[in-house]
Amino acid sequence: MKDKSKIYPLDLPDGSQEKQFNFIKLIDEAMKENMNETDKELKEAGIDIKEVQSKLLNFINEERAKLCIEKGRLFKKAFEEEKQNNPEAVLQPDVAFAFRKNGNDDNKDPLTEDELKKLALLIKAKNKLRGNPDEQGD
Amino acid sequence: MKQKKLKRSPYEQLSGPEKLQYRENVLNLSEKIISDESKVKRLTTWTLRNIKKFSNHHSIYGKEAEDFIQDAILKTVIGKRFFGGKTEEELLKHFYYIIPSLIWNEIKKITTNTIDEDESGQKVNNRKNKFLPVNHIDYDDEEENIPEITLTGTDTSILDTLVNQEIINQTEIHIYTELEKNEDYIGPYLYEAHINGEPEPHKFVSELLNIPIEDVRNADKRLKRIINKAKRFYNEG
Repeated sequence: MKDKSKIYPLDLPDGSQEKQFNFIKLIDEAMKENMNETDKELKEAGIDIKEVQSKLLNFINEERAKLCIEKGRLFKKAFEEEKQNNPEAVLQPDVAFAFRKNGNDDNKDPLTEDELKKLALLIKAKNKLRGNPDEQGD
Repeated sequence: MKQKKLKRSPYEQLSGPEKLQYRENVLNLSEKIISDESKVKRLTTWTLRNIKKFSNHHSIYGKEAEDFIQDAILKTVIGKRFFGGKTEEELLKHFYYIIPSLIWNEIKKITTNTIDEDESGQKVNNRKNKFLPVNHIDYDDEEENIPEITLTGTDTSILDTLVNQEIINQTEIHIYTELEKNEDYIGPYLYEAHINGEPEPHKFVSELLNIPIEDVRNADKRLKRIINKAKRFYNEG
């Protein structure tokens, strides 16, 4: 069988990629030490760096929002799956307390059966998304 | 005939939760980089210089430096240009590394690998003939500065390597020419020390040439001025 590496015309000695990264580091240092030149170039090209930052930060926030939506969708899916399996989960008292605290602080009543089940499912779904299905939630 | 299995990219090898974690991590680190004005200035300048190098313009089909940085963030977030590091500095270097090939892609609109049938009905892979080795590039001919390369969808790392190697080759010619012109004998040793990743390049060269470290530090300032000008040199002639 033909060696796949021979398909590519990369006649680069070992460690070339590391040298490329060292070169990039050097280029970055050279720019850092000559920022007046950099500023001049950006000005000549009509680039306002504050605008660039603002646009890119907005983009990052949009991507983060998409990620949150996807997480929510997967969380819902995991929750539904756990609900179908109808688990009999054992909850630590402090987890139950935290769950209650999110609602009404003054409520001294113990968690109902339904609340306990819902909480167990939520914890399982959350852990599934984190990749730790057996971990107790926080 | 048994179909050849395609190699899965590092991103595809992650589990669902790991992918979410990866994306969140890249977004968090990107935000830190973009919030730092000095880093954005350097990254934008690097992008602008490469746009000008490849196109002689400040933008390509309306795509400006900031658009290519945005592309770099997006392609990293979705795993098309996988980021294997952990820190802000590593991600910044990763962006420096992939941006030239993103720009080049925009210009060349690289052809994907195709399998055609010849007259006898046999399948023929026409990718091989479209490759042009790095050492075939004629530096004196602007038209030949961009070699013909055809890549499959997952071969982006090869493209990154080739484009960066080209940039290094061309920059080095300028650096060595300038150092020779200035009769700077410390510069070449210092440049090699940086490129070879010497942890303490100043000390290394000082000991190697048996000269005061202060002389090496001054040579380093000169070298970095030359490197900084080298990128402008291409763009402006």
